[in-house]
Amino acid sequence: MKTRTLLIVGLLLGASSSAYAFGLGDLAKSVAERTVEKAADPNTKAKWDDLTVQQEIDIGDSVSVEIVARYGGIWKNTVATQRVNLVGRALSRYAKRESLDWRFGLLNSDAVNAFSAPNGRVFITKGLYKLLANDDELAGVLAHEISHADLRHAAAVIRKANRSGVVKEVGSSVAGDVVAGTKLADLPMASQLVEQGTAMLVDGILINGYPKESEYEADATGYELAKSTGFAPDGLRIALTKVEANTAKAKETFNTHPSTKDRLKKLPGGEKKKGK
Amino acid sequence: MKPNTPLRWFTLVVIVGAVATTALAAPKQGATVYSKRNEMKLLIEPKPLAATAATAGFAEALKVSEIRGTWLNVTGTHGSGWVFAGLIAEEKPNAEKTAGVASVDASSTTTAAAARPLSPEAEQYAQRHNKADAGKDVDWVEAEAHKVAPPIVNAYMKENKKGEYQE
Repeated sequence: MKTRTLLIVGLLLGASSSAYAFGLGDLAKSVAERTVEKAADPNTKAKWDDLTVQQEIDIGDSVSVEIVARYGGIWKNTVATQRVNLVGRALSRYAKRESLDWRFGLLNSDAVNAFSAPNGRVFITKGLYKLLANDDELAGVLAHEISHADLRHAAAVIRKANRSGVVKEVGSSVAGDVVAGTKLADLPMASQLVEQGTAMLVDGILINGYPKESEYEADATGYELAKSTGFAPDGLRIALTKVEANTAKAKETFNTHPSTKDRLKKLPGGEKKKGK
Repeated sequence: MKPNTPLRWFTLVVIVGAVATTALAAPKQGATVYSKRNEMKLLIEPKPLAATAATAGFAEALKVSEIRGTWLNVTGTHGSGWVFAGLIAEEKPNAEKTAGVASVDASSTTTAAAARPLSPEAEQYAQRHNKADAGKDVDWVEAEAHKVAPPIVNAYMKENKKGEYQE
């Protein structure tokens, strides 16, 4: 357990360093600094393991703020934004969690990447958007991101971090624990939850990326979502192939995802394409 | 970052295989499927604008009696009818945990929801972290997304033959 804790601390400190390297703010640092292994409080664990929709919205909105802040703000192109919302909302109509507020935005960054917050806000970078030639390819990418939220992968990240003792239990902060210049202990409980939940997800989604298993699961589920909605099922495959071809050019290409080659190998429907 | 032990690879292969199998397995005649929506309409014929024959509740078990392309004829507690395959799940969906939320009724399509700016908690978060501009950007996306009203999404789907409008 001690080794595991040290490993997590090491990973977080490593993440913190790379966060600074990419100009990512103070949040990752605060997570690393706040890493304390504490005895589990059953009541608090239940809280992290059992987030309500409102708590998911609060954390998801804050994660969205972080995504936008770290990727150059929003690309305010109304035509492109309308298009991603048309395609995205056609897909999300058949998502398992249709009750989420599915919204789609474009990040003003030349990096090639895409993200989804747990409350149904999905973002893709301008760099990725411009690589996609048609709605089928766009749908492939968006369906993958929708699937992350649909499959509650963010909640799994939070549960894992909590089980690992990476973060303190809500309400158990000490006087010296400061977030963005404010003592965490001075914040209302709901704000403490947002701070800690957001910190875990910034680390788990924006810095380290989801676990590979979650990425492959989102690929497979997204493939089926795009296909059943009537988009060409090979949209993600073509998009990933383009991403792979542009890897050398792009500074940050899906750097929060597993290798594109591995994803292409595991993506459903690959066998049929071999003959083409 | 983690050692790629044989057990880890085995687990990964099993997970990916299981997901792919689940995702790709089309329901068969006689199978039991589940409604993903509350008050889901079961139609008298496999066409998006057909009249409603019956409705099914969220996560209601439905027996598949016939399959025509992307449409399934199913029977539930309140009757039979046709439903687009995208609206059913092969595994029983879980209800959302709704505490603290005014309305997350699965029957109300999200596309019909009112524009929802950042939650007050997230607004405060953005302020605390000096990221109010990013918060405004998120709200800009929200406002633009809200302009894409349900009839516009329907028209896009109809024109491009997506979802129920597939032929």
